[in-house]
Amino acid sequence: MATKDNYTGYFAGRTLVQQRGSIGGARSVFVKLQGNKNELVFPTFGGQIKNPFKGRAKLYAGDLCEYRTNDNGVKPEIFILKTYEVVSASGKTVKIVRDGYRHIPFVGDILGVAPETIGGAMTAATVVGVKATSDAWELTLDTTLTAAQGDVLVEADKAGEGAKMLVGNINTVCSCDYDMLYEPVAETNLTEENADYENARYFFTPCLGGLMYTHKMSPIPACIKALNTSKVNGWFKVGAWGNF
Amino acid sequence: MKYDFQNSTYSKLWDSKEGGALLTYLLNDPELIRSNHNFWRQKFTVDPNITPTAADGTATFTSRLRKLESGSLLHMRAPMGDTIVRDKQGVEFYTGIVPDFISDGFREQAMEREYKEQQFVENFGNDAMIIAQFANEVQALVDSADQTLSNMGAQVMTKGHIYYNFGQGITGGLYKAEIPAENFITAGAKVWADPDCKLLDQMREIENKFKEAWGLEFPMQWEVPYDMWHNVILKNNQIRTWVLENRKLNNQVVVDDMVVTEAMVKEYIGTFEGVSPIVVIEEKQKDEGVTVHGWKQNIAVLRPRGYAGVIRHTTILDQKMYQKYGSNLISRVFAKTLNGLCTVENITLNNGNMKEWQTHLMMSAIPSLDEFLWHVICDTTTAD
Repeated sequence: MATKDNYTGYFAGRTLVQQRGSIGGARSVFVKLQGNKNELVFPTFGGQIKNPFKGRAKLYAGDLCEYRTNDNGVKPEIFILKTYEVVSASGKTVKIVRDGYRHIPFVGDILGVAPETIGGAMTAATVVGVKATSDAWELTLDTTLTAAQGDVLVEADKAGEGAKMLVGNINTVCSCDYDMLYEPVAETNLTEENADYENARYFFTPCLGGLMYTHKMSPIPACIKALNTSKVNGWFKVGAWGNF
Repeated sequence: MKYDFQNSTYSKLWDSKEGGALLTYLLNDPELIRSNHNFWRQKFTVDPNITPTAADGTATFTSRLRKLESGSLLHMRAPMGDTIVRDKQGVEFYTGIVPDFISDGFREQAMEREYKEQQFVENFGNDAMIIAQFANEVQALVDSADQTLSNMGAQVMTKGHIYYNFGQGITGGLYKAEIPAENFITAGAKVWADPDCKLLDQMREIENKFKEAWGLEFPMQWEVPYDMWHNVILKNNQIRTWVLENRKLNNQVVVDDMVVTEAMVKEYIGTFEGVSPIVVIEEKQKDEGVTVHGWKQNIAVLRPRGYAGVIRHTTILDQKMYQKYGSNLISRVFAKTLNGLCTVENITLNNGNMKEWQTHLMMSAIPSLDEFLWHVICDTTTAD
């Protein structure tokens, strides 16, 4: 008999399903430097991902996060920077790059072209359909979104005009890939009265430092590039360690 | 002879070779580290098995119970007559996760340690006082762990779930036990604090209702929080009358308006047929200076006598990672305490031109409610 989460059960027949991929191979994103570094330093408590992917998805080494604390520097929450590079946009249809190293879009995501500065206004639309092709995700939105090839879409705090980027700052980095295999909770700020115990909540601790090759990272919008503290062209640094 | 601090017992607590054994000895010496918050030990034992952590990050435990139902009366038949089929009984289960916790930490750099040395050692000539002070600091960490387990145990016993919103870290729901909906009940005809509440009758009625529903009888007990015991139960008119009348029957002194004590109630509660013994629960914790209770204060629990469940626990990723891949510029000493549930870590690292020492406690454990089918949660402040 199937259980509530449907991940266990019995089917008295034959189920045909396949997985494929590769294990062990990796696209190295971190800059190789000889000498002691200060990347793998973990902040207090870590946090719950407050904007999880809405299905099975993956975070990549070098992906940027916001470790958001209160005014006392505690009660942390993690917001992951999800980015999608536009191939083309026409009316309510937007195609974004899909190459196996990109974030996966889901129905229900609220996306818009990243503003020029963090905190700036943007226009966002809700994804109502996702179709995979060999090299792109074709998104159907609920309203028209103006976007050009090369634009980077990010999550917004609401749909429509006057929205802001959901991620307000970048101060931490994923030190490795993270595979999220379960359906997440639909809402991450549930009170005790309506807490969801059956869907996944993801807790992890990103690192306070990282030095990555920009071209190997997930696509970065200009407003995030402005937060780069590296002095070397083509490198993106999080953290204040090292004078490079 | 001048005292050599670098070879002192205190310094060795951080030594990569000797520190593990020494720290373990100190942490598990009941003269040095006491168990100050014992509610969880009264209700839960430690799971002898480790809950494994899977590669996908889940540390999932399963609690399962066979649903026991009594059979029905036979069907009279004529010879050769067959029978109807009986529904098969299942095994009820739920899964939960083991979360991760960390205590406040202590941090001391070389200048601070020099200051301490000058204060203690030059005055006392040995490091016994420093060890005592360290033990006091670690006691606070162990107390935190004890309180956390007690709070969570009391939560799951009175609410059927654990929602963690204490401390300064992550907050949220942890797991929900599969207590049947019909086991969440209200007080009976009247709320228990009502002066006219026939409390013993209402408690007996609740017990009878479940005996009938289950078709089985277990040795049960009521569990009530300390304040409810003193402010509601000891002051209840029916209980007072029952106790005082019994005292008269037994030629014991009774004066007008005398206080009915816990000892008197426990002496005579057993003579009121149909009401199981009442156990008084004393538990409270401190959260950033504020007193909190894991036990919901208006809840009385009716449950089978014995332990409510076990403490599930899993491995600590930090220890695994640092023991496998830790930088050799940073030395770490790990030692277990609290029946193996907690790990204290002593770290020595560089701070500029000198050293720094850190201590904190980590725990990956949670109480699971393992008699959930027979666990009744009674809201004593809401009448039927």
